[in-house]
Amino acid sequence: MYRREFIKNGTIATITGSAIINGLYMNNLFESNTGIPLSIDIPSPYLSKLAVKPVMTAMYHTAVWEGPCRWKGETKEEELKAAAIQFDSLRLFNLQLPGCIQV
Amino acid sequence: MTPYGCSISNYQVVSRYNKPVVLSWGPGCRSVDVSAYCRSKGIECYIPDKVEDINQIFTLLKARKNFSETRILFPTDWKWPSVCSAAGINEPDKLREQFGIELVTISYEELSKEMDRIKSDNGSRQDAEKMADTVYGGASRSFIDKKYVANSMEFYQAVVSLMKRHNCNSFTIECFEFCTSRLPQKWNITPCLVHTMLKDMGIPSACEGDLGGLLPMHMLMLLSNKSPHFGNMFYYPDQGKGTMAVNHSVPGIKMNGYDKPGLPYQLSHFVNSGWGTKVIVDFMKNDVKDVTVARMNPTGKGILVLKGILVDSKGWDDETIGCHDIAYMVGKDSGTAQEFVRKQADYGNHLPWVYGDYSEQLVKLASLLGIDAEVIS
Repeated sequence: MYRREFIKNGTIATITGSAIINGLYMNNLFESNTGIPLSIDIPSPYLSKLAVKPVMTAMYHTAVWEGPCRWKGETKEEELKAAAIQFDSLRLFNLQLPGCIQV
Repeated sequence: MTPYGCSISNYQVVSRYNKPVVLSWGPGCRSVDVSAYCRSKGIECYIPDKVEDINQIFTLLKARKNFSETRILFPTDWKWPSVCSAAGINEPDKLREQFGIELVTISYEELSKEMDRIKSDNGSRQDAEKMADTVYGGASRSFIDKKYVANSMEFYQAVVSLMKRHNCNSFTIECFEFCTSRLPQKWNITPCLVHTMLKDMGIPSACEGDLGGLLPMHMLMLLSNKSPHFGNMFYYPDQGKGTMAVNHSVPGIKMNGYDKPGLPYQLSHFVNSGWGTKVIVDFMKNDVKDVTVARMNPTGKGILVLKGILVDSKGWDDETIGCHDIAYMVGKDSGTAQEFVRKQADYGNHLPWVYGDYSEQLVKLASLLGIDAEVIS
């Protein structure tokens, strides 16, 4: 009989319900569906996250002019607005990062 | 980092942190300029191709970080080279230098004291019996008396307690040295079940004090988020075009992933007298047949990878004693394991493997760690 069938039959449910032993969580040993292996108070490598600092650079100019590095002279306000939009999209991007990343 | 403006201003921001940088813009005139300049100045810099790849880069960086945080508990009075895994990585100082990995050795005396403490504590003994109930109850078939499973659970508690005491997150023990101490016979245990259980909780755990098997096991676990199997290599040139067997009684149960249901399993005994709890899984009773196998060489500077496919398994419904949970596999492209096993003459014996093809990620992670990778398929 497979474990899941066994659980369905109810016999083990009564055992596992009270079998959280000294933080060893044996009841869930083979049944965790969280994607994170169960903790037994050992510093599992999976509990350590990658710390990421998102950095966005933006530039605005003090005056409007055109030239070889600036083919479209925008005002400071327009450039700040563009930077704000870019910042919003970066925030959205950060939300899409996996749980193992600590932003 | 999302770069904008001139390259040098971006470099100046990057250089403030002295950390690896990922330029989220993707390949372009500015990002390659920033990247090449950063790299020339010794700053790690990565340019993902698309959103998925930035996650892959983060996964690899996280794996490298986790790998460097490995602290291995190794009960031994002999130390190294291991008696029957002489081709493991035998220079702990170099491991620390190269990867930041620490090896913590403790004596059998300390192990015995902890085991005595567990055995003399009523609460711990009762816990061991309840744990045995759970694991025994979950097995689809058992060839072992439950009292021996409880013995293994006492050993499990002792190992976990010692890992906590020494702040370790990885485990190995030398089977042959342990055997001659006669402690396994005294306690009626073998380490097999402990290895299975720890791996299922994301804790790398390898047989025979073999760090050349333990470390690639950790890499595979970090990349796949799956519990691995581990074992001796045997080669059968007359089976198909040349088939390799991997055999130890230490399968994972969560071999499809920590976020997936466990595989069906059976329990059996390692020794003739009936004790020594071990788990049996039928590796072929699974939809996935692709596998990734890996082994590091004795210097810790090379990793051998097999992009393979399972062709058979043995051990299920079989009471054979000793190590007897066998995965048979070949290279996925060549249909043979011949080239891989020939290369093992440089790399050594024990092979950890996981379901799925992680060969590409493994090569990238190896590169991040400064390890040369050879992939055979």
